Amino acid sequence: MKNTYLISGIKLFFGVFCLTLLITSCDKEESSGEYADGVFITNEGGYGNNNGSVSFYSYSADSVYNNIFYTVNNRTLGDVVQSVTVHNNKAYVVVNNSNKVEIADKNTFQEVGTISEVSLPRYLIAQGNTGYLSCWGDNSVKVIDLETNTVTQSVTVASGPEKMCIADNKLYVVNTGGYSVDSVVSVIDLASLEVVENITVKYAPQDIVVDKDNKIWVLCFGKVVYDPYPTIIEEYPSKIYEIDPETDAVVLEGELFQDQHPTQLEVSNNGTLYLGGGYTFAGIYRLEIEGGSGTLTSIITDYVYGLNIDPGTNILYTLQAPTYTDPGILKRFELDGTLLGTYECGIGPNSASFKKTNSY
Amino acid sequence: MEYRKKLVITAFLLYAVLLVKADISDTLIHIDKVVIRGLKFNDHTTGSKIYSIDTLTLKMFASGSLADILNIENSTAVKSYGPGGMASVSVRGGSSRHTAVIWNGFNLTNPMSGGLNYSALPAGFIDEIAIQPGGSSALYGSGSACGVILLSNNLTLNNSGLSIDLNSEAGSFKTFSNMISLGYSGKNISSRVKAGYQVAENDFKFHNPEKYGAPLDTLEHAGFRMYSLLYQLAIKTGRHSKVETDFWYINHFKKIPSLLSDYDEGKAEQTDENMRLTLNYSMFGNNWFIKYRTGLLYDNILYNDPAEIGIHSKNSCLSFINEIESHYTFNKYHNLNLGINHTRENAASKSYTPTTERIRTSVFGRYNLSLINERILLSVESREEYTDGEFAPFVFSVGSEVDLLPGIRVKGVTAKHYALPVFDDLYWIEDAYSRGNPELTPEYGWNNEVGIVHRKNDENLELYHEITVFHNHVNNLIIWLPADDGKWTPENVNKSLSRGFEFLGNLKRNYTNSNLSIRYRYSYTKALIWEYGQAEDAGNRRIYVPEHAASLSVGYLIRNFEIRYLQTFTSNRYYDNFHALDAYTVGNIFFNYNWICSNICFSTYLKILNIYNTSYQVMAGYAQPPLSFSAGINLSFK
Repeated sequence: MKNTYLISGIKLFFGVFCLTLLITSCDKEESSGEYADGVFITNEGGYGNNNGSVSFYSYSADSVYNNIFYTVNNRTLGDVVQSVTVHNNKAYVVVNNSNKVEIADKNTFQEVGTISEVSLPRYLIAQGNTGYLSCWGDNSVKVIDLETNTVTQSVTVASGPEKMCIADNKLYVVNTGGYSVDSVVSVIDLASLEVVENITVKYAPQDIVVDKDNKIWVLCFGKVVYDPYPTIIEEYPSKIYEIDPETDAVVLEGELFQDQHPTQLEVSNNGTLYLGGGYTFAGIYRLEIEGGSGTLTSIITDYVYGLNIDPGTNILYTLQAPTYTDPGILKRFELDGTLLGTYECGIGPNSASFKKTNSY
Repeated sequence: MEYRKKLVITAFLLYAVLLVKADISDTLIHIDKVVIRGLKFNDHTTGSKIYSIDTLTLKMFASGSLADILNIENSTAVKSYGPGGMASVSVRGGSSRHTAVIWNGFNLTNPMSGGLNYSALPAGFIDEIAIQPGGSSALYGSGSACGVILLSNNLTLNNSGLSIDLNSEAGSFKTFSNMISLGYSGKNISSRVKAGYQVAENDFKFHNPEKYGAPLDTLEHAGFRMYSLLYQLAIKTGRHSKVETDFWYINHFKKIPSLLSDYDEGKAEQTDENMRLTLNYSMFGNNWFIKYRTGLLYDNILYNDPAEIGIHSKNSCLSFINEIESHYTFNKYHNLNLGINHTRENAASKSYTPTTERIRTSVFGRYNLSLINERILLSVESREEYTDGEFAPFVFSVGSEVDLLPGIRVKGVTAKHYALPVFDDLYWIEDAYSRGNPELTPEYGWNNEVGIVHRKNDENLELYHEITVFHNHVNNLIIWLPADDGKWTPENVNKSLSRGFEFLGNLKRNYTNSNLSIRYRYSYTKALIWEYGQAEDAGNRRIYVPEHAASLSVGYLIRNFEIRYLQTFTSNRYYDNFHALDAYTVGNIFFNYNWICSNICFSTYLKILNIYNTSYQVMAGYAQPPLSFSAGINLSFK
C-alpha cells in the first residue's frame, strides 16, 4: 500500500514537474524576445518615401520603442506600412506601396521572409497555415501558403478591397472603391475559395468586425459629391450595417451621421461598438444598439487617424498623425475615455496590432 | 504711393552714402579674371565666399548634367534620384528653394516649386559655373537665402572666325552623349549654336540592401534621354554698346524607378521641357555701364503615373523678366550700382486656383568703397521688393574684406535675406485633403559669415587656403501641416538655423613640363529646424544635410596628359526624424589626353566612377550606380 502511495506520489511529483516544466518552457517561449510583451504600432510613413516603420508598446515598461524592424534588421520596411497581423508566432507587416509583406518573428522582430507578387496589399488575415491578403492593385484577395510564403490563388472581388473578417468559414471583405466609391461586401467561401455573395451596403464600406455573438458589423463612410470642390451637390450619410453570417443577409441598417464620415470600427469584449477616426472626423463614439435602435455617445474628442481595442485588456488605442514628417502620437484610454498615457511613435501611425486576428 | 516713396527712399539712401570715387575691384579669387556674366554688376558680394568649378571637371562632365557636376564636386548637397533622375541642390543646410540658380543674370528657379531639376540642364551648355554659399538676396532676390549657383555663357567678339566643337561619350549602362557646337566670332558679330543629345538606360546590377536577403537586382525603369539646343548671338551695335540674345530649348524625359524596397517595377515618367529666350543690351563708357535684359522663361512639366492612382499632370509656368542694371565709378575709391527688376510670373496647373499670376517689382543696389590700394574693401547692398500689393522684407548686406598681411585677407558679411512663398504654397486648390494659403508671408532671416584667406604665389608653388565660419537662420519657414479641419495647408510656423565652417585648400606645384595640383575641402554643417515656441534644442535635423562633407582631389599634368583622383566623403544624413542614410565615401579617377595641331585640338578622356564599387544612397530608397566607366572625345576646329 505504502509502495502504491509512494509510486503514486512519485508519479504525481513527476507529473507536476513535467507539467511545470512544460508550462514554464511555454511561458518562456511566449515571453522571450525583446518585443514579446506588448503591441505593435503600424506607422505608414510618408507616401513615396522609404520611411514606413513599426513601433512597439511594451506593457511592462509602459513605453514605446520606435523603428524596431530597422533596429533589428538594419533595413527599412519601405513605403506606406499599412498593417501588421500577428499569427503563428510571426508578424506579417503589409507594406502597401512597396508591394510586399515582410515577415518577422513576433517576439524578436528578426526578419524571416517576404511575400512578393502582390499589388498594393492592404490587410492580411490568417487561419491555420493560410493567409488572405486584400490587394488594391488588382482588386483581389490573395490566398497565401504561410509555410512557403507564396501566393497560391487569387480571388477577384470588387473595387478597393480593404479590411476583412472570418465567420462561419467565410471571408468577408469590404470594398471601399479604392480611389473611387464602391458599396460591396464580398463573401468568399473558404472551402471553395469562390465569391459566393456580394452584399450591397451604401456607401464605401471601410471597416468590418465580428463580435462575441458572431454578428458581423460593417461601417460605411458614406459619399460626398462635389462640383467643384468645396461645393457639395450630393452627400450620403455614414452608416452601420449588421450582417448575419448564416444567411449573409443585412439584418440591420442604421444611419450614423449625415455630414460626418468616420472610417474606423472596433468592438470591445462585451460586444459594444466604437467608431471614429479618419480625415476631418473628430472624436470617437460608443455605439450601443438595443432593439433595433442605437445610441451614440462621444467618449473622446481628438482627431484620430486610427483606433483599436486591445482584446485582452479592453484598452482603447488611438493614433494621431500630425504630419507625415514628424512623430505620430499614441494614446491609451479606458473605454470610458479616461486617458492612461500618451506616447510618441513613428511617422503616420494608423493602427495598433494585438496578438489576435479574428478580424482585420 | 507708398510703394513709389519706398523706392525713391531706397535709391536716395544708396546714393547718399557716396564719398569718393573708386574703380571696381576684381576680387574673384577663384575665378582668375574670368567674368561671370551672371554676376550682378559684374562683381560678387564683398566679404562672401565664391568659388568656381575647374575647367577639367567642366570638360569631363560636358556630356552630363549640372547635377552630375555638382554631385561629383561634393561641395553642395545634391539630392538625386540616380543618374539622369530628378535632382535638387541645397547649400549650407538650406533647402533647394533657398538656393537660386542664376543663368546670365536670370533666375531660373521655378516659381511653382522654388526649385529646379538640375538633371535637366546639360552641363555642355554652360561655360562657367560658380557657387556662392550664403544668402545674397540683396543682389539676387527671393530664393537665394542660403546660396547661389551662377551659370554663364561667354560669347566673345574676338574675331577668331569659325569654330566647331564636338563632344562624344559612351559609358556603362548604355550611356551615350553627343554635343556639337558651331560658332563664328567676328569683330562685330558673334554667334554660336549648340545641340546635344544624351541617353542612358541605367540598368545596372546591385545588391539590394532594402530587400530580404539582399538579392542581386537590376535597376529597371530608370533610363532617360535629353535633347537640347542653345543658340547665342552677340552684335556690337556701336563703339560702346552691344546686344546679345540667347535661346535654349531642353526636353528631358525620365523614367522614374521604384523604391528599392518595392517589389514592383516603377511606371511613372516625367518630361521636363523648358525654353529660355533672353535679350541683353549693354552700353558702357570708361567709368559707367548700363545693361538692360529681358527674358521669357517657360517651364512645362508632364508627369504620368499609370499605376495605382493614374496621375497625369501638366504643370507649366511662364516668367517674363525685365531688368536694368547701372554702374557708375566715381573714382578709384568708390562706385555705385543700381538696378530695377520687374517680373511677371504665371502658372497653369489643375492643382492650382484659377488666378495664378504674380507681379514683382524690386529695386536694388550696391555701393562699393575701396581704400588703401584695395587693401580695404567695403560694400553695402540693399533690395526692396513689392509683390502683388505687399512689400517683401527690406533686405541689405554689409560686407568687408581687409588685407591684414601680405597674402592674408580677412573678410566678412552680414546679410538679411528673404524668400517669397512659391505657387504651390499660395495657390494649391482646396480639395478634401489640402489647400494652399494665400495669406502666407515671406520667409526671412540672416546670413553671417567671416573668413580668412591665405594665398601664396611663388614661381613654382601656388597655395590657397580659405576658412569660413557661417551662421544662417530663417524665420517664418513655410511648412505644410494639418489645419483645424484636418486639411493640409502651408503655414509660417518654423525656424531654421544652419551653422558651421568650411575649409578649402588648393595647392599647385609647377615642375618643368608638369605640375601637381591638390585640392581639399571640408565642411561642417549643423542645420536644425524647429517650431515657434519650441526651444532650439528640441529642433530636428534638417533632412538630407550631411554634418560632414569632404573631398580630396589630386591631379598630375605632364605635357598633354592629365590624371586626377577624386575622393569624396559624405556623412550620414537624416531623411526624416527617425531614419538616417549611412555615410559613404566614393573614389573616382579621370584621365585626359590633349593633342593640339595647328587649328585642331583633339582630346580624349576616360572616367572611372565609384572605383571601389561602394553601395550608397543619396535619396532614401534609390540606388546609385556601382563602378562605371565612360570614355569620350572632344574635337575642336578653329
